[in-house]
Amino acid sequence: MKLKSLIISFSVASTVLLLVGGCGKDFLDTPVQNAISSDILASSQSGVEASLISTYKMLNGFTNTVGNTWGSAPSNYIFNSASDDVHKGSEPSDNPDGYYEIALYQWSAGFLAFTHKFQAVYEGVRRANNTIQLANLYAERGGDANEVARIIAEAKFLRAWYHFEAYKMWKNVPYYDETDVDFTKPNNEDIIPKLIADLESAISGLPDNRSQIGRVDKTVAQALLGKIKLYAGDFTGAKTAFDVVVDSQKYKLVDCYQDNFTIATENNSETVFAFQASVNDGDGNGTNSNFLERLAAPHTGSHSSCCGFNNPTQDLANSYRVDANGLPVDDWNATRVTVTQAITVDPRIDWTMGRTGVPYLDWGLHSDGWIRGAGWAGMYSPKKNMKLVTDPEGPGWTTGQLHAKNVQLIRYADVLLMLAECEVEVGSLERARELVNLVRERAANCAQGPVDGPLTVPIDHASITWATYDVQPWPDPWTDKDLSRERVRRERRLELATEGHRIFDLRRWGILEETVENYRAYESTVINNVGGQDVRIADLDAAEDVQPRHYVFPLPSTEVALSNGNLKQNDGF
Amino acid sequence: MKDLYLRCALASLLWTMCVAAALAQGASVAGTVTDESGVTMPGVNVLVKGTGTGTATDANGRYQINVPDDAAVLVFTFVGYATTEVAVNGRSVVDVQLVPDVQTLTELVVTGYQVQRKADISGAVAVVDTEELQTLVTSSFAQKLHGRAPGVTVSTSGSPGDATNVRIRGISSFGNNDPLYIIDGIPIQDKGNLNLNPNDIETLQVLKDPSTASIYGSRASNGVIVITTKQGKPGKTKLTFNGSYSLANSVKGWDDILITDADEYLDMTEQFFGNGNQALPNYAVNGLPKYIYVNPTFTDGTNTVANTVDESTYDRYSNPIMLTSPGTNWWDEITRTAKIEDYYINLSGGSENAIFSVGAGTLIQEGVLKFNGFKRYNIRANSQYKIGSRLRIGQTLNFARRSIVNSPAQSEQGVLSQVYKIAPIIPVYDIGTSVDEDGYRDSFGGSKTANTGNAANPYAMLFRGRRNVNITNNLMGSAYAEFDLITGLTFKTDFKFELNSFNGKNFSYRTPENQENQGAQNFSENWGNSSLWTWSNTLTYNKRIADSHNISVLAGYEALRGEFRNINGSLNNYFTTSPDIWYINSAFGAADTRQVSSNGGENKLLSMFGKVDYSFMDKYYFSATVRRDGSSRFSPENRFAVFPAFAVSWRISGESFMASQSLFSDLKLRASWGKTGNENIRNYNYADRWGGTVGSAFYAIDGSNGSATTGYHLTNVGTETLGLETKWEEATTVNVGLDISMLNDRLDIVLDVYERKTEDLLYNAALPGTFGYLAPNAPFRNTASMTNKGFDLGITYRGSFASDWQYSVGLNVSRYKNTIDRVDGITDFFYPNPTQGRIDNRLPTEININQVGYSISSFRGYRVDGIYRTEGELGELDQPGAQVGGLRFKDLNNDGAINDADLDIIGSPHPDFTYGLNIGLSYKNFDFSAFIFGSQGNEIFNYVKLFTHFRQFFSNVSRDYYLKNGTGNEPRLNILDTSSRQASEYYVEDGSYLRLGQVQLGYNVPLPSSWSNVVSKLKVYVQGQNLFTITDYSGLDPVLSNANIGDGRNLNDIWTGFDIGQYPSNKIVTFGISAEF
Repeated sequence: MKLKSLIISFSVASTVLLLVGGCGKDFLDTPVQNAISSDILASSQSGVEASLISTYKMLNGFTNTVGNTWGSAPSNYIFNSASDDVHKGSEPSDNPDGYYEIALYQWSAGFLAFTHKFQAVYEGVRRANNTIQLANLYAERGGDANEVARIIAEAKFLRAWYHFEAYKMWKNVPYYDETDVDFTKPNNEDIIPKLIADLESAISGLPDNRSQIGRVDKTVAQALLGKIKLYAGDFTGAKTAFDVVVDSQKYKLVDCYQDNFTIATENNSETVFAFQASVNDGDGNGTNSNFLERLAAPHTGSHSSCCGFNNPTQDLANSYRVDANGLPVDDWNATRVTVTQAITVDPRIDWTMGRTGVPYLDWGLHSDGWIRGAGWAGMYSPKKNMKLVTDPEGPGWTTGQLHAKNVQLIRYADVLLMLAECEVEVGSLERARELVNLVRERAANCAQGPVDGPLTVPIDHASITWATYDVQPWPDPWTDKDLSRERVRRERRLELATEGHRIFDLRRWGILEETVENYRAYESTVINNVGGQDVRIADLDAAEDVQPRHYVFPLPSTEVALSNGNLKQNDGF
Repeated sequence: MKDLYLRCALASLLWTMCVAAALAQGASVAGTVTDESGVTMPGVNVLVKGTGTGTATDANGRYQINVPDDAAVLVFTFVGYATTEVAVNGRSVVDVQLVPDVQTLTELVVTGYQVQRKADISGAVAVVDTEELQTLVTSSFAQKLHGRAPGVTVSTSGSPGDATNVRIRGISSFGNNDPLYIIDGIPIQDKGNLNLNPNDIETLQVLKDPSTASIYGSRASNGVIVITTKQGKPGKTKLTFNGSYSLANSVKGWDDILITDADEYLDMTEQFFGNGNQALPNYAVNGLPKYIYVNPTFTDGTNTVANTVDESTYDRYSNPIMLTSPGTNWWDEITRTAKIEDYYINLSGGSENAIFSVGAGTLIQEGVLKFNGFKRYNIRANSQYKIGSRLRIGQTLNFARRSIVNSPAQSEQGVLSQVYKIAPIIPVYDIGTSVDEDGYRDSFGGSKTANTGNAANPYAMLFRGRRNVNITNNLMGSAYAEFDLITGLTFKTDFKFELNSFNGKNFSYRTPENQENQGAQNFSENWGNSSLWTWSNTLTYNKRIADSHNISVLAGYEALRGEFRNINGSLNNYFTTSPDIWYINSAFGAADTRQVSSNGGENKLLSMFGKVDYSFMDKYYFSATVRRDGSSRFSPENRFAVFPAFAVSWRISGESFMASQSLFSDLKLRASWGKTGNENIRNYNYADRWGGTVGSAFYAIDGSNGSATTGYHLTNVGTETLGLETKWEEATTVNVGLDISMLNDRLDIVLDVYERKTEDLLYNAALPGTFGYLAPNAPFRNTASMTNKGFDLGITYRGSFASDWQYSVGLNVSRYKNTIDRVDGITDFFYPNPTQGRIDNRLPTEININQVGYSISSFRGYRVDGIYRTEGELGELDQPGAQVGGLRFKDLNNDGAINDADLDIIGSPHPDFTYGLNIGLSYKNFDFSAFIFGSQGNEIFNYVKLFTHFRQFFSNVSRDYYLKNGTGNEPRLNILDTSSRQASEYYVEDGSYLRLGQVQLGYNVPLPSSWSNVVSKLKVYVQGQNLFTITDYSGLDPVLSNANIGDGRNLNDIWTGFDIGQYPSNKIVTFGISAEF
C-alpha cells in the first residue's frame, strides 16, 4: 500500500512537473534580432541595390576591425612611402603596422599594413559577390532583368577593381567569384584574364552614362580595363580602351588643377572614378570621410595638429624645377629647390606640398613647426588631402582632420597620361606629346594664391613672392622613343604626385632599384636647418638595398598560414 | 523528516535540534569545555539557545550558567571550532568537547538542487571558509578566492570594480572559462560579481568535477561556485555589525621602474638619437631649455623650445606655455593613498516557523588612481516559512546599486599607459593659473612639442574623467515553495530572476596640451537593461531502508530566458563643459554629429535532469546524474545535448578491518566520470545576419558631402552559409580523489587527480582573409580539442603548543598541464581575435598562438641569439632593420635570413604549480592569521617593453634598462633599431611570484557577563593585504589580470600572461571591527 501511494504520488508529481515546465521545443526558438536576412534583401530591388552600395563603400578601405587599418587606405599612401615621392614622416616609432619599415624596405610579411590591405580588398570582393548572389536570387523571383543586369555589371566592375588592388600589391593573388565556397584557393594563376573578363562583361551591362557621380558606367569600366591591360603590358589593348574613354568626349581637364582637390569642385569633368567621401552623415566616427587618409596631415602647430605623415621629399620638390623654357630639367637634383623667386618651378609644386613661407591653401603660411621631425620627414607637408577652412569637419581626434574630400581613384589626367604611355610604346610619339601637353597646358592655369586670398591666382600673379612659376607645353616634335617615354613618365610623376601611383608605376616600369637608390643617395645628404640646428635626413642610411624581390610586397603571413599551404609567399620573403 | 528540513534551510551550517519542550524549573548548569585533544578552552562563548543568556568559559575552561528549564539547549561557539549545541536534559554538569571547524562528517554542501553531507559526496568539492575571506577588502567576492581553494585561480587588477577571472582547474575552453555562479539557486555568469555583498555570503562551495557539477549540465564545464546567503536562525534576534576602514597603495609604482629625473631623461634621449646618428630633438641640443613649448603658430620658424619667452602672450588654447620640469614623477602625480570604507549590518532571527535575515551594506572604495573609485550600496532580505507540516515557502531578494567612476582603460590609450609614455621633462601644469568650477587647476602641461612622444597628460586624463560614471542597478531574487507529497517525496518549484539596468556617460574634453590634441568637446551615453529568469521544478525522494541503504532520487525540469536591450548615443562639439548639459540634445552640440543606435537579443535554455544517490552502510556510495539541455544559441538540429556523470566512493575507514586502528579517523577513496557542456557563444550564431551601420555600409554614391545612401552588408556570417554545424562543446572529466583525516582529525588531506578532455571546443577562429574583413568576425565553430591534466592537493593541520596556543596550517597546491590535442579546419593552429598592438612583425594576436601540441596561448616569436657587436656581424644574416648593438635573432632554418620560418614557440603563461598557504594562530583572545599565495614557473610576455625599452612613440624608459643598455645582452638605445623590437624572447620573462596575500591580527574583546544581554561578541582586528611580493619579474605586477583584455571580455584567456601595463594590485592596510548584539 505504501508503495502504491508512492507510485501514484510520483506519477502525479511528474505530470505536474512536465506541465509547469512543459513549454516544449518551441520555447527555444528565438527570432534573430537587429538584423535582416538575405531572403528579405533579395525580395526587392532596393535590397539588392543596398548591397551594391555597401560594395562601393569598401572603396575607402574601412574594415570594421580593432584600431585603425591604415594599410587599407584607398590612396595606398602607406605603400607609396617606399617610392621617391614621400617620407613616412611623423616619428620613427610612430609606426602603424610596419609603415616605417615599409619606407625603409625592411619588409616583413607580418606587418599589419599588409593584412589590413588584404582584408579590405577581399571584403570588397566579398560584397561584390554577395551582391551578385542577391541579384541572381532577385532575378529568379521575377526582378527587373535590366536592373539586375546593371547591378551585376556594377558589382563585376567593383570585383575587378578590388582584385586589381590586390594584384598591384602582391601580383600573385587568388581570384574569387560568387560561386566560390573554398576560401583557400591557390595563388598560382595569372588573374588578369579574369579581371578582363569581368570588365568586358561589366561593359556590356553598364549604362552609357552613370546616374550618379559615384557610380560606374561603360567609360569608367573602359578606363579600368585600359589600366589593367597597361599593367599587364598589353599596350595595344590598353590604348584601345583608353581611346574609348577619350573619344567619348565625356571628360575634360578642369581649368584649375586644384579644383580636383577642393571639396566644392572635386566632382567635375575630370572625375572618372573617385571615392565619394561624406562627413557628419550620421556616423559619429566619421568613417565615410577621408578616414584612413587622415594621418597625412600636418602636425602640431598647424591648424590640424595632426599626425605629420606622408611628407613629400626634397627630391620631389626639385623635380618641379623647370628650365628657361618652362620644361622639366633632367638633372633635377643638381639644384635644390627652396622657397625663393630665384628658382623657377612648375606651379603644381605648391598644390602638392606645403612649403614653409608659402600659403598652405587658406590656412595661412606653412611653417617649419608643422613638421614633426625633420630628421626623417624632411621639411614638407602633404597638401592634396587637406580641406579648406570653411569646409565642414568631422569628429577626428584633432581639429581639421576629418572631412569630405574625395580620394581620386582615376582622374582624367591619369587616363591621358596612361594613354600617352601606350602611344609611346606603339610608336605614336606625337600623339603622346599632344596628350602630355594637354596636362601641361592646364597646369599653367592657376597657382596657390596669397595668404590673404584668393585661393587661386594666375601663375604670374604679383602676390606670388615665394616662387617664380612657369610650365610650358613641349614645343618641338617628339622623335626619340626612349626620350618620349622618359618625358611621359616624368609628367606622370609631376601631375599625380602623392596620389598613390608612384610606387606601382616604378615597379611596372622596371626602374624601381635605380630610381630609389638615386633618390636615397641625394635625399640622405639633404640638410635642413631647424631651429638653428642642421638636421640631415639620416634614417635612409638604415634602409635596405632595393632588390628584385621588392617588385612585389610580401603576402600577409597570417593569410599564408591560414591558407593550408595554398597561398605561396612571394619570392624572397 | 530532519533531512527534509535541512533541505529547506538550504543555507544553514547548523541545524536545530528539535527537542520537545518540557516545563521545568530554572536551574544552574556548569561544566568544562575542552578541545579535540582534551585541553581545556578558555574564552568559549556559551549561550542558552533562544535566550539572551550567555557567558564565556574562564581561564580553566569552566563555565556556569543559569538555564530556564531542563530542556534548554546550550550553544558553544569558538572561532575555528564548530558550533556545538547540547541539550541539558536535566543535567547539572554538561562537559563539552569542541571539534575543529572543518568537520568532514557533518559538513553540508549544496551541490545543485540538493544539500548533501560532504562525507557522502564522491566528487571533487572544495568548501571555502567564508570567515577567512570576510575581512579581505575587494569590490567583488570573487577576487577573494585567490589561492583559497585547491585548483582555483583568480585574475584581477587593482582597478576598483574591475572584472575578475576565476578559473577552476586552469583553462579548458577557448571562449568562456568563467565558472557558473549559483547564488541562492540563481545562475549567474558574470565576471564582475559586484552585486553581491561579500558580507551576505554564508557558504561558498566550489564544484570542480562533473559528478557534482553536471547536474548544472550546460555551462558547468568550467566548474560551479555555489553560494548561499545568510539565513536567520530560530531564536533570539541577532544584530551583527561589521565595519572596516582601509588605506590602499599600489604594490609597486611606475616610479620604481621609470626615469623620473630630467637630466637622466636628457642623457637617455641623447643616447637614443646619437646611437642612430640622428639629430637631437631641439630640447636636447643645448641642455634643457627653460620653456619646452611656446607659440603654437610657429610663425617664426621652429620655436619649440626657448630660454626666454613673453609669458604675457600665453593663452591656454591658442598659445599654451609650459616650463620645463626638472623631473615630473608622473606616477606620484596620479596616485594617492586610497581610502576604502566597508560597513555592513545584519538583522536575523525568527521562530520555528519563520526565519528571516536582512542585511545592508555600503562599500566606498577610492582607486589608487586619483579621481577613480567604486561604490556599492546593497540590501538583502531572505526569509523562510513553514505552513502546516508539509509546505515550506521562502524567498531571497537583493538590490544593489553600484557605480564605477572613471574606470581606466587598460590599454595603450588608457591613463596607466600614459605614465610610461610621457616624458619627465613635461610639467603637470602649464604656466596658466585658471581653475575650474570645483577649484582645481585645469590648464595642463603636455607633449605638444615635437619629439616628446604622443602621450596624453595622465593627470589631466584622470581629472577630466572624474565625472564619467557607470551605474548599475541590480535586483536579484528568488521565491520557492516546497511541498511534501508523501513521506520522503518532495516537490519544489523555484522561480529565480535577475534584473539589471545600467547607464554610462562619458564626456571628452579638449586637450590643447596634447601633441595630437582633441579640439572638440564630445559626449556619449548608453542605457541598457537585461533580465534573466530561471524556473526550476524538482521532485526529490529520500528513503532509508533497514538503516543501511540510503536512496535519494532527484528529477527536475528547468527553463531559462535571458534578454537584453540597450541604446547608445553621442553628440559632438559641445559648446561648454558644464556637466549640467551632459545630455544628448542637439541644441548643445553640432546637430549633424548626433548618433544613436540600439541593440538587443535573447537566449533560452530548456533542461531536464535527474540524479540518483545510493549509499550502503555509509561505506559504499554510488551516484548517477543525467541532464539534457537545449540551447537557443544553436540551430534547431543541434540544440540538445545530454550530459551524464557517475561517481563511486568507498569509505575505507568504515570497514571492519580498519576498526582497530586509530591513525585514520576518515579514509575515503572517490572516483568519478562525467560530461559537462558549454554553450557560451553569441546569440544567433548559426544565422547569416545582414545589416550595417552608416560607417560600415552606407556610401555617398550621389557625391553629397553630408549624407550617405543606405547600404547593407553581411555583418555576421552564420555557420549554415559555411556549411558547418555548431554544437555543444563537451568536456569529459575523470577524477580520482582521496580524503584523509588522521591524528585525531588534526591532519586532513584532500587529494584529487583529474584529466579533463574538452572536445568540440567552441571558438570563432579567423577564416582566411580571402573571406573579407568578416574573417576575424567568424561564427563560432567546434574548433579543437584540448586536455587538462592535474591535481589539487589540500592539507590542513591543527594543533596546540600549550594550553593557550592553538595553531593551524593549511596548504593547497595545484598543478595542471594544458595541451591542445587537435585543431580542426585548415591549419593546426589558430590565433585569437585581434586587438590593437604595436609590435611591427606580429599582430599581437599572433604572439599568443594556439597550436597543436602546445598549451593554449603559448607565446610565439623569434629566439634571441645575442647582440650584433660589429658591422661585420650584421652582414652574416639578412635580418631586416638590424643595427649594431641590436638583438640578433636565431636563424632556425639556416637559410641566412630572418623571416616567418624562424618563428618559434618561446614561452608559456601556464605555471608549473600554484599554491596557497594559510597559517592561523590563536592565543587566548588573540588570533593571528597569514595567507601566502604564489605561482611558479609561469612566463609573462612583457609587451610594455615595447615602450619602456624600445621607446615606441618616444616613450620614457625603464631606468634599469637605461643604465644597462648596450652592455651585456641588453640591446642599445637606438632610434633606428626597428628590428630588436619585434616579438622575441626578449619580451618573455619568468613570472613566478610569492605574495603575502593577507596577514591579520585580531582580538576578541572579553566582555563582562553583565554585557551579554547587549553585546555577545566583539572583535577588532588589523590587517594587511599584499604587503610584499617576491618575484624576478621586471614589470609592475606579476599577478596579472587578463580580465579586461580582448574582445567582448569573453576571450581573454587567450591573453593569459600578456602584460600591457594593467592596473597593479593594491597593498591595503585595514582596521576592522565586528560585533554581534
